Amino acid sequence: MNEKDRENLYKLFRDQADVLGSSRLTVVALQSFVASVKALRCSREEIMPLFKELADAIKNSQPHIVPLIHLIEEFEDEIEPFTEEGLEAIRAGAIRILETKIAKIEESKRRVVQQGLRQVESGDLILVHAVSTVVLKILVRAHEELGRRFEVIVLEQDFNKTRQLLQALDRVSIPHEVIPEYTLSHAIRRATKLFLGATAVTPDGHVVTPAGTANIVSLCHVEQIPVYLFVSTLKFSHKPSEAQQIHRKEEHRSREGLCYDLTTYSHCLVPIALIDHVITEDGEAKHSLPF
Amino acid sequence: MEGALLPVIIFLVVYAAITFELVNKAVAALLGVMILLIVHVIDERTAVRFIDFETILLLMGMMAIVAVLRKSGFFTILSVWIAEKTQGSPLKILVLFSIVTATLSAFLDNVTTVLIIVPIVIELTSGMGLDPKLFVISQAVVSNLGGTATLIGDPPNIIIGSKVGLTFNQFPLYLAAPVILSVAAMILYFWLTRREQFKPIDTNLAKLFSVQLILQKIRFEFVSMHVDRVFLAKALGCLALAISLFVTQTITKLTPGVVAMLVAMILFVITRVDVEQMLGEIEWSTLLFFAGLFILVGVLEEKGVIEWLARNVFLRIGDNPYAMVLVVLWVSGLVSGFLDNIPFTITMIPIVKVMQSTTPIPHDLLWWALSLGACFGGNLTMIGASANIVSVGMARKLGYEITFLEFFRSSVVITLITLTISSAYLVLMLWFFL
Repeated sequence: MNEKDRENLYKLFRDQADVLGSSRLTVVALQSFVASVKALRCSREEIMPLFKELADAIKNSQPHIVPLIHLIEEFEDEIEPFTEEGLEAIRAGAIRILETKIAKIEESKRRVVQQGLRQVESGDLILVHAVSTVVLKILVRAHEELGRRFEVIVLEQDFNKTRQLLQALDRVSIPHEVIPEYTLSHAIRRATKLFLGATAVTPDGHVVTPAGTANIVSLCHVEQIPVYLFVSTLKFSHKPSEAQQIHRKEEHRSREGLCYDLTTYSHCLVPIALIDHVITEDGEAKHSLPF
Repeated sequence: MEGALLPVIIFLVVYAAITFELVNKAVAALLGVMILLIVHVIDERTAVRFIDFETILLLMGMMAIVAVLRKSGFFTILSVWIAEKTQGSPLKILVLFSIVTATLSAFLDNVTTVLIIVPIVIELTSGMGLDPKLFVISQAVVSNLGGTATLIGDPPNIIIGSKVGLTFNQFPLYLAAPVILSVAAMILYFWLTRREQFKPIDTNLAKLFSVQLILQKIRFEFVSMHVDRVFLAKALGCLALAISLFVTQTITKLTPGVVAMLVAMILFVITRVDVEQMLGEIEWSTLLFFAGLFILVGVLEEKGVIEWLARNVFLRIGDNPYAMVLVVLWVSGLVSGFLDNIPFTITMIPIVKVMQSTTPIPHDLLWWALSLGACFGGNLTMIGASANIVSVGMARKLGYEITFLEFFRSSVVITLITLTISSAYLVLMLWFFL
């Protein structure tokens, strides 16, 4: 896989993560892997190196999609015994393994949502920021299944990132208001909780979150608004924050006679110390985290 | 040609201003008209008489129909469907998108078509690590080819159909064959000259994976989009009604302009769209540009300039019908590559009328030569047609710069091929009918 193809793939990951969240992206990537294996035409000798090439590319993505990386590492271990089999057996084995990985992340998400439901109370005014399918499911199920009556403040990013959140809230008639994320200071005193998802939790005590989250978490911390992070343990990374390959982009801007170089980052790093509650599939986990 | 000097100078200045984009096209044309009115070369009544309201009505009606269709989500549904069908095969992307672009362009305006197709083609091809430029150029070119097949597909045809009184059915009857052959030739040319771009990807797992991710992204965007099915059904129903009324024009005796405007008004009523918003999407400057040009050319016609041009330039070639048809085709093709084909067609219509009256050529073949030349010639350069400019602009916005020369390298060969196909077709028709 050449550099250009890698760059294209990583850009696709970033675009998808922005609108789907990293958990949903993991499912989508695994489904894409299954469809690709089904369509692949190659010899028995070629198939394992092709798996390795794609697995290596996924494992080096910018930023790291940690749950996907964990599941791809498991896939590599589990496909190894098939090396001596025929082409179709390897193909069938790969599809079966990948399907179990999809089931695994879906189950993990389901359990986090189950735990998250306990954190929503009637009368809450919950802040939500970027798209997280887990946070979204918690809100929808708490409203629909548990009958909790709460309101949501959506901190607006660009339309594509906020659209999915708004559509889901509209669909189940959860009362909500939308404010630009940079005007949070005017609404924060009314809020009772901040709900977050994450791309990764690192062993050096950071949470990799969508760009803009660090400021919101900081303000909540100062104003003593409890911050809840809902995260599957599949998102716990072995690598420190500086090894998460957060994408850094520099572009030249020229506007109204002003020229400057603009540097942007795809994700934020939030110190875990600012998070009040870390909810995993096993419940509240803050005091049992591995750091 | 008494009193012709001032109108000729004004016409040439307006033409230069349009060609070099010195001022807005509509402003250039209407300023020329205003000067003619101020110096009393014509009066207001005569000026209004020169405007072909059938053309204006047809353009306005079609623009309104397209504005409502765009709002219905029809184009998004269509492009998602094709993207799914290609499954990331570069050859299928070229062939399927070319067929759809050509078909859409035949019934809608070319700019709308490329505005819908080009972004999705760039997304698919760039995501696969292919060079999207080739695919962008192909869609611009094919939109101009497809638009040639019908009366409503391209402005030169609208003008020819309206000014000459050709029916909707005559256009596909006479032009579908060279258009289909030209689209096929374009696909074949790209396939033969850029074989490395069309290698199948089903032996490359990483590329297959990228394509599947892109398709998932496109599907997700589609699912997130709100499509009002009733609105969509009404919009498509009205498009079908317009096409059937165009086709039955000889029975209903309704001109295409009346049909387009009638259907647009029905659409406005039954879909209850925000009419002000829809009217805002009509390209008023284009309509004013048309009106201004009709007046300028009308004055030249009245002063005898057009007849002089026809007799002293075009009829110099003699009365050999083969030579006449081929000269109209190739002059139109080459000039339209560098100048806007709308003013060129408006200028050529009275010239061709003189040629036709001097040496009658059967089956309107001179008009078909003008149509094929003016529409296909738009492919010659990046500035030859609005669809080219819009496609290149969209590619630039998405990070792919297509230079004038890059476009020209592909388009010049394709234009020569398509004009040669048209020449062969017209010669064959002449040989058959004479």
